[in-house]
Amino acid sequence: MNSLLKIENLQMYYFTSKGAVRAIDGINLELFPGESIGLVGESGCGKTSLGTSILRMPTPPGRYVEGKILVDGVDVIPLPEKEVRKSIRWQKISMVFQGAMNCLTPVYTIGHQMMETLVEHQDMPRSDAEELMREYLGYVGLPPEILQRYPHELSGGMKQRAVIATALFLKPQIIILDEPTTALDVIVQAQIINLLKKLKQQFDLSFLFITHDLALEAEISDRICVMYAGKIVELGTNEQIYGIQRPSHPYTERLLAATPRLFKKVEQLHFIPGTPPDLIAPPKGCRFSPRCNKAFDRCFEEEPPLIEIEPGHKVACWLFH
Amino acid sequence: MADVILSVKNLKKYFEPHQGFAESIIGGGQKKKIKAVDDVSFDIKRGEIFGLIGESGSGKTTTGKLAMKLLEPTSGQIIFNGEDVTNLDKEKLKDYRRKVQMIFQDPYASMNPRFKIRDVLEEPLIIHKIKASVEERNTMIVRALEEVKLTPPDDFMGRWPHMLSGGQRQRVATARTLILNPMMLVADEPVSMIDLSTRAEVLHMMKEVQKKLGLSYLYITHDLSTARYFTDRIAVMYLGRIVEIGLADDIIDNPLHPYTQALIEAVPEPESGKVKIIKELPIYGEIPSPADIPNGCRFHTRCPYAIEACKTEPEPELMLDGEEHYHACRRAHEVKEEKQKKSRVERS
Repeated sequence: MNSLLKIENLQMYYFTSKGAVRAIDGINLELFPGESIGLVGESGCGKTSLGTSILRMPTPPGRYVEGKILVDGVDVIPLPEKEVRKSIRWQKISMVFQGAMNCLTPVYTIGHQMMETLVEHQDMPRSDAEELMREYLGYVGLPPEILQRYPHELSGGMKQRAVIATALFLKPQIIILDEPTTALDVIVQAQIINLLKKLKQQFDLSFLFITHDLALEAEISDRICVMYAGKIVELGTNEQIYGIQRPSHPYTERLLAATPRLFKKVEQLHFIPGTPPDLIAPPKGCRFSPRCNKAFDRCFEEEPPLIEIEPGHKVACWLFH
Repeated sequence: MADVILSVKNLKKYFEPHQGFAESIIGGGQKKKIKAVDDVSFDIKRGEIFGLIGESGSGKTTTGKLAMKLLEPTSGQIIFNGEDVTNLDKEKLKDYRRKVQMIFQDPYASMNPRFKIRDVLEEPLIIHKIKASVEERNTMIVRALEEVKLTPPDDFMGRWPHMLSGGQRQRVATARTLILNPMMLVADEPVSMIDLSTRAEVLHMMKEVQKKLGLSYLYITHDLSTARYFTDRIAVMYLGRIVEIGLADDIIDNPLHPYTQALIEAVPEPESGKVKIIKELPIYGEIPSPADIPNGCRFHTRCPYAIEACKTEPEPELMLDGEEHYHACRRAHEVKEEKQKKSRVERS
């Protein structure tokens, strides 16, 4: 099967006055049609940076250093901005941003803001656009009256639905969802996750689902990609990460142990001591080694490559060599 | 009742909606009151961690603010340590706030960025006019920092808030409350803005401090999974009222109110094999506005088990059902039977 999106050895650094922050440092990832990949990791691991990089809009002072982002076989990094706007962004890949419900402007109606997306990326007569908006509001379970409402008149869940509808509009195959439910209550979160699952089936979408919550990722992602300090440390199927075999990378293991479980009474929750490293001068060897309880000499000296330990399951850890 | 530290009785807080000048003259369109807290009663025992759980709009934060005396209740009574504190004069209020301290949700906004950590911790001593020499103060600050495991304390005292991580800031926030030797802490979502990997660390530290100093906590959250680990008892709030209250384990393993059941089913678990399944929750729509609370049982508009009586009959009061377990659902046992029947059918 051909991949929709192929990231090859991507490096994207933030060039600050203190030095280059190596936010994305050599990422290889492929996304196939109809598949959902979950990007997980602590804040600062580069998961959001990867999302915006794919859309060809790294936040300044971020710049691409090396690598390719192939969308349908075409590298988007050297493309002129106009071309990206016309044929990639929102047409092939769209994004639901973190705290998306707050990125709606309070002074315009929902209809106005949804219309903007259409007008910006595609020439379309207003009447057609209006009809299209009604159709898509139906898909996300919102009544058409919403179009005349202002954001403050809607609940968080309704705003998030409107934002998702906007991301679907131009029929992209890939949607990047950056923490789409963090600001929502558990019940609304579960409703939005159900909606996303339905839309994925209905439109045969591929997701890149970014979150720090491993429990949530288990609900939606076919494959899980665990990131640490700008690198992928583990990549495996939902079953390989959450199934009985249990994860392999010590970082994933500890992240899972730190995830509170509702139905498991524990005396003490686990946590990962320390903080992620400074990405201007990352530690020598494995970047997780200073916080890892299984680290041995080699971990502090040499960086472990990402190797396949079973079909479809890759781990970057010296324990598997 | 010597073993109760905070007792809240029939507490209500109604907010008057904003009315324009013209509206107030013409008197047109009397707007409805927003019933944020609508008759809430509970007791927090000495040395207990009491969890208040609910969605946004359930009134849990307002209840916390009422307990902190940051808001005046519309009616009801608050008794702290055997003393009625519902109406306090300025002096007594200050004394109350020394005994009952608060940890806020956002560790990035709750600290003055121009204060070094030492100053952050000294401020409560100044505000409450604690008479102590510089050395005595320093000892108090060092002790508070050691209590929350920010060691070595000298190292942290000279730092600025921006140099600390979210978890470390919540430790400082906890140290700031401890410096005044409080009896109770109100913690409103203290870990919701902290990374998952350090969330457990902060909760663990808070629990250790609580055990060691014999404090009582009012822990306000929407997160059931941390509540199970962290609290002794849980009260579930819906639209300004407590619908179920009981021991933490009991509430989660044996929820009796349909709302609690929906809340529990909505929590994601890190297990495989769920991607292809769309599990519909036993609840409809979203929480109604607290300005427009449904008649009858306030949950009936979203409850899949509601019958005619739930709409027309008066709202059920909390009733005892099991050890220290109260709920406000007239159909609790029928719903349980229905559910068991359904799962039996699904299995066969």
